[in-house]
Amino acid sequence: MSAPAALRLSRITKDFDGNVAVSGVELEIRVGELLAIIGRSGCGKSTLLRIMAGLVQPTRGLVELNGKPITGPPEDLTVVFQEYGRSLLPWKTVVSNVAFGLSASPMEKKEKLERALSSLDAVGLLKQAELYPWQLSGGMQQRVALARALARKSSILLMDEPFGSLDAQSRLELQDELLRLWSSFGMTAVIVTHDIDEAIYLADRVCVMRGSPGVISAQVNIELERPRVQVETRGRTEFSALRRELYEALSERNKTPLLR
Amino acid sequence: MRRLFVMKIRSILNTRLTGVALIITATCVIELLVSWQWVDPVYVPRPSTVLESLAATMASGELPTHIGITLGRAFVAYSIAILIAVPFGILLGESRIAFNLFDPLVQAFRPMPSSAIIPVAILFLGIGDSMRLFVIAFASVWPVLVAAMDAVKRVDPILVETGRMLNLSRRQIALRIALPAAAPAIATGMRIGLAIALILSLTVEMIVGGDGLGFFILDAERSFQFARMFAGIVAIGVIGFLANSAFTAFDRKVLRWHHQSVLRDK
Ligand SMILES: Nc1ncnc2c1ncn2[C@@H]1O[C@H](COP(=O)(O)OP(=O)(O)O)[C@@H](O)[C@H]1O
Ligand SMILES: [Mg+2]
Repeated sequence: MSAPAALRLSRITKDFDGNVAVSGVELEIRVGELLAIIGRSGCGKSTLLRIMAGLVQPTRGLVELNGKPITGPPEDLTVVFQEYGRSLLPWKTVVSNVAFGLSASPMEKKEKLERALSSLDAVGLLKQAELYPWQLSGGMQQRVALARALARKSSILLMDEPFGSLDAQSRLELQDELLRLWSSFGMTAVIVTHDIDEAIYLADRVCVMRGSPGVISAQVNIELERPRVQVETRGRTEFSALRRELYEALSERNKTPLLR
Repeated sequence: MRRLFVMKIRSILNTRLTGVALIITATCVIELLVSWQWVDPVYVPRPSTVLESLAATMASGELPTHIGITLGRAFVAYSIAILIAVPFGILLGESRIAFNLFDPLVQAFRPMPSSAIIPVAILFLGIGDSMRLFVIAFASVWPVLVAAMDAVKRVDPILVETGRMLNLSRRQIALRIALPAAAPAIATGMRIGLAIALILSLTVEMIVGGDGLGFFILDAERSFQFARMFAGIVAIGVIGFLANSAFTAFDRKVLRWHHQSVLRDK
């Protein structure tokens, strides 16, 4: 509980010409924590993630990384974009795309390639290494984007709906792969998702966002024991209780009466 | 049996052979029309006479010399145009400041018919080679410049954001992301520029005379040697076709990823 903050957002507001995407968000992400953010589409999750990544300048407020204010994308931080397909370079092969993630590193070319290959292995795409992104299905492209992020071994990993296009089976497998990497490297991770179960299964804490303007409307600590195991963890009674709690936090029935 | 025949026809219609067949057929039709005197043979020589004249002027070395001069000029001027237009277009697409400063000028010059600047160019540069090169380069700069500018502007912002996230410098983003992403659209502008360079090369020769294929054609027309004139025109057609094919082959080889991914998106 007393771990220092890796990322601290203070009074973050982002106003896109009158459309307030994020409003007055206060959030602290502790070192080594796995935080999930859930919310309906358009409520400002991606914008908030981009602000954390130093890619979007907030209209007001401050983002601090290890206690220092950030002004641009920090070196030790990696993002998996929601638009994963568009974030791959179509003129590079899969393996070159993954190695491209290490462009700014002083590592030897050969070492970059090895890292890229082992990262592709982790997402199960070793066979596709020499193909081009446009020769892959959406789910495969998503795994390439994930592999590129993992190859960087950053201490902070921000993921925007990283499993959205995967089939159910790959999704479960990659959730476990993510948990494995997260616990073995001790990184800090933030995952945006609209899958409540995924958020509970992965996270230490779930933030619920509500839109127009985007605010964090609820936070729930997930105290399920680790390591988590798909069928077993999901079958626990605490799991269903958390699911109900988050479902209610997410559905805006109580707050915005549409029919009365 | 009948199905097989239809399928065979289909597969032929799907090749470029049909285009060649059309040209041959049209040529034969004209040949017949002229030999039956349905068209005045003084103004429209028989295609066979044109081909004879083409063979003769090629063999004597007269036509190849003029073609060489025209192509040489077009090539030099086109190269100059590319060297100016690509970097400058990228700059205009990249930099808001440069765009605001130069775009009005670009938009004012771009729609100007290139032959309209010939008198101005003659006034300042005389009728020598430098004037010709200037006019050709001037005309072919615009499509390339505008294509490069638009292409850079239209680079997917997610790609640029990816570069920033991966801690690339501005320069690295420009060279390793924006330029390759913009390359297919720039190549399209370059192809149009090439066609314009060839056209202007001929136009200048027709207006100013002296030498080159344009001069050859106009000179033949003025001395009523219509078969020679048409021989020159056929040569232009062949050159245009070859130039475009060469460019397409280059483009397919270098930008394979683009063509394939576009096909995939359809
Ligand atoms: N670059 C932008 N320019 C203008 N408006 C934007 C931009 N990015 C996001 N928005 C707006 O901000 C709001 C939140 O969007 P986003 O953060 O993408 O939501 P989410 O990821 O939760 O679906 C939306 O209303 C969206 O239209
Ligand atoms: Mg989003």
